[in-house]
Amino acid sequence: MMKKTLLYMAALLSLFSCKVDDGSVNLVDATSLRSYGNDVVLSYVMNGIDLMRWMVEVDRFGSLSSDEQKESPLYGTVLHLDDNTLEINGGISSQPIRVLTGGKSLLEEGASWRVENFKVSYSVPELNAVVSAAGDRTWEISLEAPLASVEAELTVVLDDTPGFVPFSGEFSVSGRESSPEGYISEFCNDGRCVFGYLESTDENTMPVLDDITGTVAVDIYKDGKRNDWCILTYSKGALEECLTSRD
Amino acid sequence: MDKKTVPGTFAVSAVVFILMFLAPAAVYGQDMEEASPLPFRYEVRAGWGGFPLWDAFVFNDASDPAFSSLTTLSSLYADYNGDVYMTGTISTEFVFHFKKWFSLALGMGYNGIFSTTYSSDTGARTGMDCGAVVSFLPQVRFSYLNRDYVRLYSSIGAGMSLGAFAGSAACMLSFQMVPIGVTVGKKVFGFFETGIGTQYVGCMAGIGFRF
Repeated sequence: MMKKTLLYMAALLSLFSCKVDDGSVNLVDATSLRSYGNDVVLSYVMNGIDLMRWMVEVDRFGSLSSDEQKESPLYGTVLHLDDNTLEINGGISSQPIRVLTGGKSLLEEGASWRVENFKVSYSVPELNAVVSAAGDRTWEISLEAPLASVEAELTVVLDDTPGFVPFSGEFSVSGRESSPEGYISEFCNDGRCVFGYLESTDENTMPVLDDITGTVAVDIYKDGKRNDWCILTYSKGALEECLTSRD
Repeated sequence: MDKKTVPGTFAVSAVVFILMFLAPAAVYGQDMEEASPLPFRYEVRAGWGGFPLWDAFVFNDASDPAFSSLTTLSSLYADYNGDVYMTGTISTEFVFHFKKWFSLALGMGYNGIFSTTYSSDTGARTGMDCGAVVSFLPQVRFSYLNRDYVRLYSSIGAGMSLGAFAGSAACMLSFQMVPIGVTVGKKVFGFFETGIGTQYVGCMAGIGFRF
């Protein structure tokens, strides 16, 4: 009797309820997959290369004379806490960028720098990373985004230019993101990928990563099965082509 | 008229103006003291209706996807909401009658909110988001026509509302004004009123019991 009464009341309420807002259909489609894939490249590939660039600049800054340091965009932002620890105030995180150098230059064999709170743009997540020298002009970067469930491995091989100017080279990447809803995405480069920086004319600003050429593939899994995918092809910094599972 | 007499004139005018409004109230009060005692001292009533305009405005964006400059895996596959519905305000009141023309109503209102959720991966229904806005609204009520079976009244009140829906919550001041309402009946009555405020906009109807 009570159940019937409640059912009638619920039915009556539904009958006389009023619609106050139209729902918005938000199905995953080619556009949202493209947006996600592009944000993965922006957040973990380009942001990771940018982190590498900053560390090379910080390493170089330490070797400059005091007059040369005054002309660097890092002047006034790098603080030596001790022989092994630097703080950089150029980021936009709530805390300064912290670098544990182990007392070694990034150019030295066996160097391994731990970087914390790296965030230099509002449009990318904050990263923690370990940058390890792996041989001739090669560094391996293990990244994690503390506020997202993302881990990635980035390998950067710089072009053999004096003082690494212009800062350019090749990269390879593999990474993984997981979500509380049980989705897992795996991303990696497909073939050779290169990058380059637009050198800044303003001595007070860091150069901008503006050239990325190559293909990155993203696969998304649910319950062990491939649910969606997208393949992004970049040329000279622009996304030229994006193929997705929902085209 | 010189400058010295202008303030004085205004002061006298203000006193006369105020006395004009107080006089009828004093006379009315005298009349009430001499009139018959109150037939009923208390009242309970329950009603439903009106469009919950303010609640709809407050929770309008609650079901929309949260804005983010970056697409994450979680936001890509987050469920989305269909149309959002509200039940309209269901109110209950307990009323104290102090005078035939004046009473105090202590009211509680409930407005249910619900919306179906769908998977952004498959489009399949995944469940329902439910919420509510509950308000506590004392009102003062003035009856300007008091017959045995028909009364006309107006009321005004202010209070608080608490609401939650789809991950959003709000604690707000609430306000309601009834320019005109009518009750029909003696001990058991029906009522119909028009109102404007944060509880509802439009008309409300219901039944009540006096004792």
